[in-house]
Amino acid sequence: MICDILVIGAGPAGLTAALHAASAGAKTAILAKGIGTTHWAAGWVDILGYWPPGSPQPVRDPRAAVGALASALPGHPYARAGLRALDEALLAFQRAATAEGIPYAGSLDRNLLATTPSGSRRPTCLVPHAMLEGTRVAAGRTLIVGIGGLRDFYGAYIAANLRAQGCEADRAIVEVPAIRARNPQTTATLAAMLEDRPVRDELIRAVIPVARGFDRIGFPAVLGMNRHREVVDEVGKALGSAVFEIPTLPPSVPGIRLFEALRRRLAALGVRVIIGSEVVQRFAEGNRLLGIGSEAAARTQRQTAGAFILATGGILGGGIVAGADGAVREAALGLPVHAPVARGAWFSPQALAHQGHPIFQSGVLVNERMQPVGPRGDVAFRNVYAAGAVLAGADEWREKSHEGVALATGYRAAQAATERTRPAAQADAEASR
Amino acid sequence: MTDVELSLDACIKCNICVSYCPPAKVTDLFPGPKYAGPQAQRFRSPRGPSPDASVDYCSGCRVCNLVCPAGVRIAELNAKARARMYRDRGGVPLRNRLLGRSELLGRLAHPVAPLANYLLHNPISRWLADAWLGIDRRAPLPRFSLHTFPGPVRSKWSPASNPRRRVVYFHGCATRYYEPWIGRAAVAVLERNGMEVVIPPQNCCSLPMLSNGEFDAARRYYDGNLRTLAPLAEAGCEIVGTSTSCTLTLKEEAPDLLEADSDAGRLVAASTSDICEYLVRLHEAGALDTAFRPLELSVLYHAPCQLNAHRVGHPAADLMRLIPGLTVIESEHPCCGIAGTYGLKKEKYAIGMAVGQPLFDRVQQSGARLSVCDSETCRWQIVHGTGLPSVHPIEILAWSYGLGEPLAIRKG
Ligand SMILES: Cc1cc2nc3c(=O)[nH]c(=O)nc-3n(C[C@H](O)[C@H](O)[C@H](O)COP(=O)(O)OP(=O)(O)OC[C@H]3O[C@@H](n4cnc5c(N)ncnc54)[C@H](O)[C@@H]3O)c2cc1C
Ligand code: SF4
Ligand code: SF4
Ligand code: SF4
Repeated sequence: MICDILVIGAGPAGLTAALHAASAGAKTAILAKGIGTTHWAAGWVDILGYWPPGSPQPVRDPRAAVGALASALPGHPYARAGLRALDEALLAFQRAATAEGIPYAGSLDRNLLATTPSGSRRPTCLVPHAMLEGTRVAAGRTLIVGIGGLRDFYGAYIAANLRAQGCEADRAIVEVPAIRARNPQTTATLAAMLEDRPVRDELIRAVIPVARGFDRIGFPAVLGMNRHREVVDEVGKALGSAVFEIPTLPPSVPGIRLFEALRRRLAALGVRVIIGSEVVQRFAEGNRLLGIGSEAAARTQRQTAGAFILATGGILGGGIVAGADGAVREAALGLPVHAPVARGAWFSPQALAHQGHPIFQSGVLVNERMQPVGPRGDVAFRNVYAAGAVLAGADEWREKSHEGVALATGYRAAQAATERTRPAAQADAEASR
Repeated sequence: MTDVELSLDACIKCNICVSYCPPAKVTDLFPGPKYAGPQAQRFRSPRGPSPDASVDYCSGCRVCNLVCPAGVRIAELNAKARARMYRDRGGVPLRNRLLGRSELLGRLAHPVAPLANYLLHNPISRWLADAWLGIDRRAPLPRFSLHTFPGPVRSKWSPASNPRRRVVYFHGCATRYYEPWIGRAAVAVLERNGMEVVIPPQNCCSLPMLSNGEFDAARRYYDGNLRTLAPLAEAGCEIVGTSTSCTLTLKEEAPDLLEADSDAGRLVAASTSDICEYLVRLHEAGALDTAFRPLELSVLYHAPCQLNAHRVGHPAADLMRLIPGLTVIESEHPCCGIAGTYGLKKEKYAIGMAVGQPLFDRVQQSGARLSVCDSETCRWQIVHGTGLPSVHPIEILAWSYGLGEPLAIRKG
């Protein structure tokens, strides 16, 4: 495989980086050890949910809050990438998602409050269209529908929590014989089943008697996989009320839809996405990375490229690994890592401490071109860029900034990397003329 | 415990594997990789009986291994559990023994190929094989070729020649008994690139036996190959193959599943490549003849699951993209459903066809005149599912070098 830019990692940051690199005309490929966090996450795009740290009030205006955060924390990935990258990345994301049939609602000017599987209302910036109605539960009457046989979706709990927040909500559980008979093992199986018209009609028939008098009906997020729009439209039309999805435990069907949509987009741009290849080695000459080695059958597979974008995730994604000896490493390229020194300093004394746990902020430091740097600001490799949760300085889970950081830094890294490779590609083109 | 077994502890129960497993998507007879693999493994002990027979519905396609974010070796756990289960439950069925013996079948049938083809392919015997053996009467069985590959043994190798220009060709059973033209195309392409091709005596790679739960027989075949291949590898020769499953078996499957760690095995594994993988390496070293003649057509390329398990990318697609005029559309679909011999079995035929259906649809909707795939059983399944011809990428390369049109195209 011959490419200008090799992206390592297929989570939101890697997919975004590859999308922009390829759109800018670079021959791009993705190599990933496995599937990333898309399949665990809700399928929303969080930008900034809570700020300043410890604030009990959700952020209303993420654009302003990200601006404030960037001036307060110059080492934060948002400060490195810049607000403009975030803006442009979001627009490009919405364009790509719409083109692939899963439009996202929302904008950087105002956070939405989406309904979670525990019935809380959580700030997020963009939600798939099919979750928009779930941001409006404060007005009107909401029914949460569980499906008999689907594990770990607790309609009564969701409804009770919504009521505790002053929303009018009730719940029902419906029995669908075709679903009971199959006892689907995962939400993904159920989503595929509901693309079969007879199964879908059975579900609709079961919901009609309980749906009367409600303004909106919330379902677990299993309303179709590839033909999601069709399923949502038909269920909504048949019930005569607004329909929305609530995320579930993994695998996350909205996350799978998003991943597959971006993968289709990348395929159309000629980007090869290779899943199942773990990068374990680097080949460098001075401060230039020549290539990487990935784990393959019987040997290490060598892959060269003009530039590399590291998007391997943080502690939870496996991009940053912590050893029993307290040493924290960047797993793929062995880049310098910013981390708490002693093992005893990894965690705060309380599990839910407001300031979070220092270990989750560990990662790779970068300059404003997203190039990894050492403690004194020296560039590690001049053709390597980093994006997403592998970066130091953000606490994505507490800030609720996961996808925003991924999008902004993925976009910025691709921009910087293509600026670098473009002159070379142009020179080649001129030489061949 | 081996690395394969220890990997179960890495499972974070995310269910990603279950949502990608091709059989689990279409049948409830298989609960999916997480449940058959790391979950059930907790209940498998060397002393107790195997807990669950559903693992037999794993096709071994390894899609789960690739998508798992935690590096769990699910497919290998399942293959070992299947072998254990057969042992616990009265041995490997006769049908699996037959399907595992592609080489023996070839040897017996080849001298009487027309008769064997008649006997195997007429509706009555297909019905009998279906009823008595459990080989589905609709399944795509290949036809024996009148001529085997390589024919009269050819070997131009003499100890004096340069081992760097010498390549060992591992043809596998399919090329030998069913599709000798693929072997001829491979030799022609290698020779065109200045290679001296050595074709040593060889036996079945042992994969069909490994996937049908016969580990003891597999070990004998694997050891037989090591005896002839290891000295050649020692002399510095690279080993290439046109069957993605054979090369994967030499590289990884046999040593891992049989727990056969030896110097000879490691040397052979390290020297073995898929033929396109090898040619891409030549290209990267600037040593590939790229004087390809234009082919004005569009093909749909399906990277078989067996190739993906090599974790070397899609070298065939990279090579075909060097051919002027040729449009290569990739299938972006993980599996055709046949998975070696899985889709031939009566109880699994419908599962295999359901797994392959989206791929068949994609081939037909792509507008391509033919499909290209590196694995023989996949080609037979894709032809069965689409009615369109399917060729090996090496045939496309040979064609573009002007070394002969693929047989499937000549036949129209
Ligand atoms: C990815 C994943 C991995 C897991 N791994 C493990 C593990 O390794 N070990 C472990 O112990 N647990 C695990 N769990 C958790 C385990 O699946 C659940 O804790 C367990 O299924 C709960 O069992 P339950 O019977 O209480 O509820 P469920 O299995 O969720 O069943 C609830 C049932 O009640 C029905 N229902 C819900 N509300 C109503 C209502 N109002 N009226 C009528 N019926 C209703 C539902 O439709 C469903 O049929 C895992 C869960 C997930 C998602
Ligand atoms: S090897 Fe294939 S069939 Fe078997 S569990 Fe994994 S994905 Fe499923
Ligand atoms: S994908 Fe891997 S980690 Fe996730 S459930 Fe399957 S085996 Fe476990
Ligand atoms: S037949 Fe082919 S794609 Fe299908 S199972 Fe194989 S190797 Fe996999």
